[in-house]
Amino acid sequence: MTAHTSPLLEIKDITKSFDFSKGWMKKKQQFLTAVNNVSLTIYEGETVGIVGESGCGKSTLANVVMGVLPPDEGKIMFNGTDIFSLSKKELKNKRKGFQMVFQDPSSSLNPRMKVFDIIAEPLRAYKMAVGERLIEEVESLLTNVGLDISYKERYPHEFSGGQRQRIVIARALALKPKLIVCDEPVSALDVSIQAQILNLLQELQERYSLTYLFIGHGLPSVHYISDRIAVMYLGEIVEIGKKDVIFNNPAHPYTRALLSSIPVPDPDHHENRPQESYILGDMPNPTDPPSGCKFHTRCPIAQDICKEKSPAPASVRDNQEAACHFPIMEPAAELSQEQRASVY
Amino acid sequence: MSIPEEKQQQDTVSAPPRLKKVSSVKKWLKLLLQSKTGTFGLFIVIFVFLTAAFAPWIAPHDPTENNLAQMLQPPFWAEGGSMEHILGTDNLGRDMFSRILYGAQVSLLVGITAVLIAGTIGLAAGIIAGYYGGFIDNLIMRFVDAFLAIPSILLTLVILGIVGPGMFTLILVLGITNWVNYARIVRGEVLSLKERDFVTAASLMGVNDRKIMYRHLVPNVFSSFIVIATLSVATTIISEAALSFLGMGIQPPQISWGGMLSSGRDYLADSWWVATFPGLAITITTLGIIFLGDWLRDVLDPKTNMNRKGR
Amino acid sequence: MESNQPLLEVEHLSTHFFTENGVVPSINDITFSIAPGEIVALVGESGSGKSVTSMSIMGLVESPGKIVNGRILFNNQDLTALSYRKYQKIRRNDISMVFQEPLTALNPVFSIGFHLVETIIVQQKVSKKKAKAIAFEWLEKVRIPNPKEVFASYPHELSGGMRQRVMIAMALSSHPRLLIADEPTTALDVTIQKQILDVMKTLSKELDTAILFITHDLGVVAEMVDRVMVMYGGEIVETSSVKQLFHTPKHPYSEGLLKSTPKIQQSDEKLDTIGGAVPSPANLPTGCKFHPRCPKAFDRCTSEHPSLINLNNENQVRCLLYES
Repeated sequence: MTAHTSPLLEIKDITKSFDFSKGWMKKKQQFLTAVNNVSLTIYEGETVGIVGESGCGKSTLANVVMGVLPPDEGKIMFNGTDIFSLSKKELKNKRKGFQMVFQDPSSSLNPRMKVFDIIAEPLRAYKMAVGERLIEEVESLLTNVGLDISYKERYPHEFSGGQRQRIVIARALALKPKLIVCDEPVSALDVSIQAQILNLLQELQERYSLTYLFIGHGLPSVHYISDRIAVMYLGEIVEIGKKDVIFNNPAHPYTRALLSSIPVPDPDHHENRPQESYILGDMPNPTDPPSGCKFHTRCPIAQDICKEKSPAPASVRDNQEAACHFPIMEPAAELSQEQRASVY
Repeated sequence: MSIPEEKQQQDTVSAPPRLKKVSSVKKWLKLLLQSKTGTFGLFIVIFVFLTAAFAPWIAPHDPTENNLAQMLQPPFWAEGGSMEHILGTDNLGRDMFSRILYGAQVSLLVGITAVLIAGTIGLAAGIIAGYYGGFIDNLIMRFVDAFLAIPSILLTLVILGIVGPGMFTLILVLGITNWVNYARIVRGEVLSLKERDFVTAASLMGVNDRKIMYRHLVPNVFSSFIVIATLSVATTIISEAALSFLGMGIQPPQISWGGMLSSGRDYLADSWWVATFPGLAITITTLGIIFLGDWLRDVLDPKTNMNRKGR
Repeated sequence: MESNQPLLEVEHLSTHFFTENGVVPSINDITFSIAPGEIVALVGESGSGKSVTSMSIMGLVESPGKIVNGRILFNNQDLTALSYRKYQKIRRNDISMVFQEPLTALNPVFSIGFHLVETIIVQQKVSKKKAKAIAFEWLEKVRIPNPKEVFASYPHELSGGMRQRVMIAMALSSHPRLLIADEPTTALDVTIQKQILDVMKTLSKELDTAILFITHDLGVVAEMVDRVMVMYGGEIVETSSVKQLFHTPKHPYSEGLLKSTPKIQQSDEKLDTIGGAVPSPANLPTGCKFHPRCPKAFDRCTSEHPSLINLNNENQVRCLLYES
């Protein structure tokens, strides 16, 4: 694993809510706090995965990090600079350093532009290459993501989903960024193609010493690519830590429930799996979140204090923090070492 | 049976099959022939264009030449008609057929240029309103609402009344009063395009607003734009005719179908042809344009475009 | 299980789409059977033909699609030969379907209660009062925590998980013999997915309803089913018991698919991948449909089309490697 040196991205106490107030003169006040007081530091060269179910605020967080949505509170420090304190021009310059890969490659490519123009667009916008150099640059980007250079004259609709995602990745790489925010980059792809894209992202990381913020809901793929994982629930990070710690010894009951819900591709696993207590019911309405710990309504071990007091993130073990009044200390039974070994 | 573990092949991507290369003219022709009304519409539109373009060569008479000796001659097939004036003559003895040919020139000119003006203003306003949103959007859209609240024909009449009628003013006024439709539709399309990630992606990659609008938004709204524009040519031709009929449009001696209709009104009782032929010309031309526009909508709208892909 | 008369037998089923750009052979020569009460998975990626297979069984293939060959025997009755009315009767009482996105299957202007009561009245010919009682019973069976509230609400007011529970209640209230579930949990979050899968599994046992489970998720397959059919390029390339498939996959495609699924225990190694892209049904390769992406392909694979080879009673594979 890469030695993590200096922080590249610091997410500091970010809160972002949306106003859904309805009615004449906004009589019915309704706020959706999509991200609530989230802090996270990403070091150079590492991959931090964010997992959580839909509506947990992970995509909003990605948009705040990218500077697309201004936060209500908090700062995004990229290389030590608060990106929201910059002027439009300065931000444009800074943004060379962090780029984004989107979930749905068919929506993130302009259907009426040729692949060459799509990949050349950022280079032209920053006047980084013209003429022959521009062509060379685009061709080398195509080669780097495993596409043939002859494809540059084609339109996006002539490609499969996986190939389109490669084009999106090539475009994100064009400005030679340090950080790439990947917002569910494989969820829209076929199973056999997901692995190709995950491998490609990993290869590129090694080659260009990239840092990734990888957002996903498919836990196995997030686990595969990440060094550290943050688990989000209703706008808050409930647990964060080294991926193996999180997967072996989840301390937060939500993480545990999430892990036990992943369908494991192994039939034996299910035969001798104990009847674990997974969470019941749906996620509460995010415009009217529960008091105290937001997970208490679905938590199997909730007690009175959980309804009243919101737990602060606290260190559980080395490299592991959880926001829970009663973190679970014993290792997860259903993911014991022997069973892991028996899977293949 | 055991299968030897083999090294997986290198992670490269094989070439996607190139889509069948059909020349675009051939493709469009094929699509056109699939629709009877579309073919019919295109046929009429081309016919009207040719008539307008070659009117000086086709027309048997000078359309403005008075000949009071020959006034109100019926068409050739009616009693008293002759092949000299195949569609008869009007109250000043001018040849109806020649006048209709020249009328096509005016109708098309007014229809197309007015639509170009309205379309350009509307496209720009719609794109700016949709892309920037917020205050600018509100400003533009309230302006649009204000325009919509006033009956456009009334507005046109008032402006023409102040400025004075004439072809140039007519085109300008029709252009200015009709931009709101484009603005509304284009803005709606832009709002839905903005939801797609490629617009966000472009702004993240430092592409400036002007280029985003020009390269990412305009090409993607263009197909709906061209459909409304085509259909609007028809309504504009009708507006021109109506205004000329009311005497506020094209002024004699310039020839317009609306004006011919108007002068035929007084003779409807015994010389039906003076009003009927310009009326027919208007109807057929607009019908042709509408057919063509409907076909374009079917072909260009991705939602109804079934030939992209089977299930 | 062998002694049982199969509930559903699909024989040499081929459905093609006759589009303007030529014939698209979406599925070809599909043969399989499902025993009563059995849960079988149809696994494949986009364009593999798994959804067309389910639509063909439901008789929902619409023009320009057409079943060009084969029979679908349900309780020994050939569905492809049925009149529309008789098909409707079977769809009403014996075969039900659950879709990926329940919102499109529910009418937004009617309440959940109305949907359920209508369905029950049509299916079971009971009074409105009785139907309401049955509806509540079903809402409880699919483990909806607040049946009264859900009964009165409209589709858009419910979460995706709740809507899918309602769909399952509607689909199962007629006690069908077969339930076709087309990616029923793909749009849902994992914690909700688990609950839905449990509900389906329990109710299938309780009602002795067979399930044809269509999915692309091998994890769900391992969790849900007894038997798997793997589809690729419009064909079944392997049928197998779940255990056999996961321990000793026979077809190179099944093997590649299993290997390319990220697993939690092996993390730092590179993932094995299947190269290339999923072929479009309009543009299938010659010979074995998988050969351009197959690491084990040899010269015969490009020209010769393999047939489904019987390895043993419950294991068939469509691959030239297994010809003896």
